[in-house]
Amino acid sequence: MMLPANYYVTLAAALFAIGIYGLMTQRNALRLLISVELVLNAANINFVAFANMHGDPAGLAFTLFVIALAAAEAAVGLGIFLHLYRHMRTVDVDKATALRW
Amino acid sequence: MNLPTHIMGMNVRKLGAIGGAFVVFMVLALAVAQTEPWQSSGPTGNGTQSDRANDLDGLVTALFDDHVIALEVLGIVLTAAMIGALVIARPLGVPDDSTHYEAADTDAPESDQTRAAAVAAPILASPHDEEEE
Repeated sequence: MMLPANYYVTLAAALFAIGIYGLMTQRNALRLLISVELVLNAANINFVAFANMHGDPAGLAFTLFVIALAAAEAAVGLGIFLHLYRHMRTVDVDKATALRW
Repeated sequence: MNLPTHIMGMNVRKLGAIGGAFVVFMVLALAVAQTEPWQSSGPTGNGTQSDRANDLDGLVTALFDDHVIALEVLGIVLTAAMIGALVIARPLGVPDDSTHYEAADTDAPESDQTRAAAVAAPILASPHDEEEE
């Protein structure tokens, strides 16, 4: 028997909050990427939980879409941070101030 | 105005982040706690709701029939992202073809490329070079 979806939504909320904390506090670019992945996976848990609750596989399809988009975003982000490291010898995002006005 | 950087020995930024994350979690958790338990309506004629959601045929229909345009756009976006990541992350200082393919053997017979380069050199010479001479 499936647990009530409230538990899954609470778990997703906790993951989302942890991801938000990571995005606000971390200066390391790789840790920022991991925090973004946490936020996206929190949304994935919601999609899967409500898809199972309503019996609609469209939620699972959207989960696959989000996973693929997260992979693309991680690839581009890693490429950017690799380029940043080659130029500045650091992955501290606070040091990348060339575009700051 | 100078804002304090540390409060009670902790960084203000981290304290704010902890507070913000806690507020976000409490708002979501209270919203969930105020509702009735979200339980599926039980078995239907075609099995439980969970069985219908986990049906592979249903998932394939949703991907390739209902949301096929989104799937194709996603594929294009993924391809563009991969190409962009490859371009961004390529190594620096990649030599151009003229230095990468230098001939190492000086006794080798003159190749067609060197003959063509010798013929083209005066043609490609700029007018400024001729005036200076």
